[in-house]
Amino acid sequence: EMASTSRPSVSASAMSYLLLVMVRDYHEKGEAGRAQLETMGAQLGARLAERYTKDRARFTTHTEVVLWTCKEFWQETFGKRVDNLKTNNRGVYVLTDVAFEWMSGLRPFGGDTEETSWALMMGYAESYGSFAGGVVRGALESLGLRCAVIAEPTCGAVTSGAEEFKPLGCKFTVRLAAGLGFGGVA
Amino acid sequence: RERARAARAATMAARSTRVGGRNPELAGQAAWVATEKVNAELFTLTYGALVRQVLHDCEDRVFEANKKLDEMGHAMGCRLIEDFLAKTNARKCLSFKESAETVALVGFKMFLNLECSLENWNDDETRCDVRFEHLDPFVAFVEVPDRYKSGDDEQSKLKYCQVLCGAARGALESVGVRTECHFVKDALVGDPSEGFVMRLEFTENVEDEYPFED
Repeated sequence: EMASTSRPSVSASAMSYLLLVMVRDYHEKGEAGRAQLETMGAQLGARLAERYTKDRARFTTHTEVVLWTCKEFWQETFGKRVDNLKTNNRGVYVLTDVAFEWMSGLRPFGGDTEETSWALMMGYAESYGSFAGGVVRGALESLGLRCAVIAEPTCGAVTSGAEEFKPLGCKFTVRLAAGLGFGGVA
Repeated sequence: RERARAARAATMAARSTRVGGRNPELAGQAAWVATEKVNAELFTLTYGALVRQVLHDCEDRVFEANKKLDEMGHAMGCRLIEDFLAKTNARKCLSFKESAETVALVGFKMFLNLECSLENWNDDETRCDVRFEHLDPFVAFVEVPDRYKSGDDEQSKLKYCQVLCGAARGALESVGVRTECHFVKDALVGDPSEGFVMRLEFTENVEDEYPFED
């Protein structure tokens, strides 16, 4: 169980079905839908970050914010810590999840061939990515880091046959806007 | 450990719906204990973001937004029915009353930890009220702006929790029962002291057809 017993919970299924129907609905609208998913995500991310940092001392560096996001925020929101964090030390961070919880139910579906089924699945995954990318952006921005976030779903090579399906991962590229505050500390 | 406890609870859930002397409350409780959980706040805030976006998409046309929320709920209900049947090993319901109890006392409990009671049944047991102790997963810390609460017309009021009605309707439809479902008491837009009461009414049986959506 992720949630502590003292805090109200809902079933993971309920959350999963809510996400599924939301993403599916807006996915149908193409690019406009992705933008709307990103917006919803940003609102959600901002509110979550506010809640999670309520009783916490203020952050003083960008790095602190990013590290907190990779650990506490990711754990509360996506069920685990980020698997990998890289930076070029010039305002770009890459956060990678090898298996992304919110996409864990996605499977190839619907196409006439294996390729088209995978393509359909990846299309959905990108919409999940738009939403999740928004969540990350909203969280970071509410903590003082103006940024752009691109989320790219990742999958293992397409394999045919009965090999066990590997859940989708997700790579988040965060670009901090130039000239940020934080008292000049990078 | 955790898995063994969950497995025992799942067995309890399966038994209590199967064996004679149905006890849906027990089945609901057991299924809730057995299920994997997440922080309710995550659900509440995600749902809030959705409602806000839907209102924006509908340009504040509340009637449309309510319909959209109902449709989304319906889609959820159709999808989760297989999950539900698998987890609870529920047997076929022999009456609308049993169906209603299964949705409210088992379904709402195991997915959302909602406590409710069914009351105010009509004589032929085709209509009842579902009274909720609370709807916190949807409404905790939510305040509906006045512009969505006003107007004499019920249709101009935001039906914030309509997703739940849609879900009940979708799930029941998936097992062959068409219903009408809406809140008759909604503390968010009406009198807070009256709480949340959902009216559930049988309309007709669905013709025998493959019950599950693709």
